[in-house]
Amino acid sequence: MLRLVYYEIRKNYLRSYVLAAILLFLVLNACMIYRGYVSGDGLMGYFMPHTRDTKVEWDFYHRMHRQLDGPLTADKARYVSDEYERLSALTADGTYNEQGQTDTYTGHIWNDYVMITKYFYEPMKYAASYEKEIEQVVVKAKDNVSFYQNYNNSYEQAKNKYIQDHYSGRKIPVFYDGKPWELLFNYRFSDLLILLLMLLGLVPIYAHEKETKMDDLMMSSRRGKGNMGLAKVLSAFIYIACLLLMFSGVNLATFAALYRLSGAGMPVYAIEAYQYTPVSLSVGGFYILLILLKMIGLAVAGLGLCLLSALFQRVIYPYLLGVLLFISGLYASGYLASVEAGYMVWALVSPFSLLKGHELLIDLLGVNIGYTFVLRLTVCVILQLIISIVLYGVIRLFSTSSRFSRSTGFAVKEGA
Amino acid sequence: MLYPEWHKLLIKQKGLLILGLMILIKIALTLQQGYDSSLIINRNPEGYAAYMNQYEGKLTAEKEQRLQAEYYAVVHAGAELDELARQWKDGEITQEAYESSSKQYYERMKNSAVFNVIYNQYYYAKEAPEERYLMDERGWSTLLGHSKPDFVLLLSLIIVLTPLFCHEYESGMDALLLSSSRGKYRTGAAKLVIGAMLAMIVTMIFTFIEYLCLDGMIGLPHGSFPLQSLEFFANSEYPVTLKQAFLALLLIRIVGAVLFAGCIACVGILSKRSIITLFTCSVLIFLPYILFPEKSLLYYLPLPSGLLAGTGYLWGTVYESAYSDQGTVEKFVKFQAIGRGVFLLLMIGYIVEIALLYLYSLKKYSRYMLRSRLRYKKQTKLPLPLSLLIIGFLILTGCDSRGKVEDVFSFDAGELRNYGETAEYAIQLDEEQSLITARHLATGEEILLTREPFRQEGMISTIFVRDDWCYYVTQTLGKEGIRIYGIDLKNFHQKLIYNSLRENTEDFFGLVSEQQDMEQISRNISPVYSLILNPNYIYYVVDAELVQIQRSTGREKVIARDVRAGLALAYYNGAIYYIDHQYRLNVYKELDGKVHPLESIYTDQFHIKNGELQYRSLLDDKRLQSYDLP
Repeated sequence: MLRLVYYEIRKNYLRSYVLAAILLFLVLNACMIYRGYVSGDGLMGYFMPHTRDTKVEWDFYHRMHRQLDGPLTADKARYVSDEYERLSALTADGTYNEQGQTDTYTGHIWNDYVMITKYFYEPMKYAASYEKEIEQVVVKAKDNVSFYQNYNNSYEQAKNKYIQDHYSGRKIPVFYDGKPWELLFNYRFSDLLILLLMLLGLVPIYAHEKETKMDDLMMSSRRGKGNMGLAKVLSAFIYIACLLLMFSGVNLATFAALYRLSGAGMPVYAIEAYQYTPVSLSVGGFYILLILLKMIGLAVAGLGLCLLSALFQRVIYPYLLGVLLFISGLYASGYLASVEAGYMVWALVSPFSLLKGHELLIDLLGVNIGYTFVLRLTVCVILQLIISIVLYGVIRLFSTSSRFSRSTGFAVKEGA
Repeated sequence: MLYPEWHKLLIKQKGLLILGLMILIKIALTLQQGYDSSLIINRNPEGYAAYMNQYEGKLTAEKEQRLQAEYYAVVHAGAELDELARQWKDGEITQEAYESSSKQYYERMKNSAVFNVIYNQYYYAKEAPEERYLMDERGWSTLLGHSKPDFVLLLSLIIVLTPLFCHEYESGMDALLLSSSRGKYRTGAAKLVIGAMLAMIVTMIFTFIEYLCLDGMIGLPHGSFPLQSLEFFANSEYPVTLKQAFLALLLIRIVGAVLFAGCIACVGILSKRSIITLFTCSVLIFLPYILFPEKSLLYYLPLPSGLLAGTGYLWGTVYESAYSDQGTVEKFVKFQAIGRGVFLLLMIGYIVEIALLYLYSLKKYSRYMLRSRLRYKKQTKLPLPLSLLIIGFLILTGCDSRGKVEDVFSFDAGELRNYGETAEYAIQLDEEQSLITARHLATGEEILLTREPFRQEGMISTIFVRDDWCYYVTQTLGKEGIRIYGIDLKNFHQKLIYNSLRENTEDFFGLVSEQQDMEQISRNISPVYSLILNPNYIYYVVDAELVQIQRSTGREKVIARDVRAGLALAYYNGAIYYIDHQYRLNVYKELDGKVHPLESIYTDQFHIKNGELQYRSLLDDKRLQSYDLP
């Protein structure tokens, strides 16, 4: 079987044009990250552009982070708070001297104030007050559990019990900049490139056999009928997994090199946008979870492509339908946080929702199933596993089923 | 020579079938996407059209005077109406005089929002009256103001044109064709010509579909007006009319289509495999849109992407505003205009590129035979007919209606927008904190109804209590639309009743992102004033508009634009009673779907009790009077 899988990989994916496309896309992906790094995220965003004009600010940012990163101590908090107070007082009444500001971090007091507030004071304040804030949420949830229990509202009771169980005891004992991690979690361009490479690699997987009439030959042997189908699907999984690992690796390496990712061990809720996330993993662990979810989503999308490939004799049709499938699936996944049940079901059925694991986990998103609270992510994963089993069965059926010659009316292949 | 190639491409390769399907998809998508508009115009299209009929066209001194006079009248209509009402109440004028004089002010107040839109357009036109005409911009702005790729067109071209050469190679026909001089050169030339012609025709069809759909939906009038009449083209340096701009757009797209057909042919000849051609052409055409969304660089690339979007060549420099760290508003260039000279050079460059590409393709195709190995491949069977496509929508949400037309209950939305009572609870909304509390009438126990442990999304603007349910409206700053939730007071279960907020967050990797600028983010949404629900309909008042939502379809309809907010509004037995700007009592009846003014009742306060409408009559020295309701 392993040999068959190897031959399938060699036949379908270890081709010069596929390898060239992968290499080109890996470089393009790194360039895109670099472009974002240089241009920043807009005037109202968090990341300044990396230009000669902002060099002083970035130097100050890195210097301060070297000094402050690590366990969050009272000394560090006092230092940042004092600096904030000092600069705040200076800028509030505008008494500082506009000319010849020598005793500054960045060459200008207002700039110092903005930098300290935006990059250090506010994030540190968030980290320090998180324990108290989330405790209030847990207290409310605890109160809700007993309240809804009195009124036999099982769903709300279960939801609040979930909050009570999963949000208790949270605190942020460290201080690192979580924004680059957030940027990494939100980065989606590599997903597009993987989807394009999946079209390139998976669309011909069955169609090519039919074009070259190899399918007749394969179906004539016992191994061809049984093991070959499994080998093709396994090879598709391996191809997708390799693509995902390569691109995720490049993403991580490029972000780490450019943005100096630090604090991989800090809890994911240390990133302000993820303060209400239902998972308590470290940011490193969270990134691995996102990759695993993407793997499931891409594998189901890949099986969809394999099915289309098995249905048609020429690559054009599975390609066209594959692109339309991707577009409709992506569109449906846009509803994953919908408050409307109908749209939400569409999103959960779409495998592309799992490419947006960060959106599924940024807040507590649940589903009411028989008055019990279930995470949308869990429902989505279960649905995708069911869909993948069904797809595999249908692929086997179509790739090995009997067909009849138009001219003779006799079966040209044996049934499975 | 051409006919067999046409036949092969369109009939044998199912090109015609695919194009037919794609055209249907294109029509459906164009109709579904709608057109650029604003909430104000959408809520009062008749008022906007009426004003536009008066003022559209070139701005003249006479028109300007009329606009200024109208502006003055609209701004002061409220005060004038109040003054007239005072005069009438004080007995200085008769009721007839009040009615006849107040009508004009009343109408102006109803249409003040749309007039402000027109007035903003006037301000824009005033800066350069020779080249900026007043007009309904919506249709033309949609047609010319976007640079999004026509995804269906591009996919159609890729799918239909790929087999042009690839199929010959994959079926082994290339060996046969290239063995003769006709097959070598003339067939190659014929294929290239057919590819280019087909691309041109398909592009024209798709562009005209856009034009016709928009013309049908919103209309594309005044094609002879200057391009700069559209505010988006304020900085455009082309002295052309809208129709000329559309023709220019069509020509640019045709050039792009010919270039793209050349690219597909060239890649097909070089790769000889469909999958590589499909993949490479998809990457070549789509990636530039994602890499340079709405950037001028897209239009300088030697690729067909910019040409097939087309519109950017006509744009002026586009600016965007944002808040800086200092809290000041800063303007920056979002799209740098392409100068006329540069545009001309680019076009010449593209034409040269097309000529070279086609020549190279022909050369490569015809030469191939010299080095080609003869391959014997059986021609694959034609694929089975395509079976396509199910598009399903699951839209219907909310409670089911039972076809009940009249609904016997009374509700005073004016008094009860923050308060309601059931048999067990007295419910109160704290608008400041967005909190709803219920006090148990028997025990006095206070229960918080908004119990979300995390931060609550949006602000609660009003509540409505009925049949042991508390309904409330939430609105989110910067987002159009409302959500209505209901809380069952038996078990405090919360249910979504209605949602009109846009929920889909997918931006297709930045391809269709609609970034909100500072103005849109900070847009202040008027709060919903009153809310009323029955099994069939939802009613709410926003600004001076009474909006009806059909619960089974979710369709919104403005049924009145003259509701005097802050005064009483009541629902009784399938009808809504409200006071208009003239202090006249009106009734909207669900049965006939029309508003009827109750001519004899002028009031500033009323309520309904036991089937009787009690009101303070402005005609009778504010004495309390009653009116028996049907």
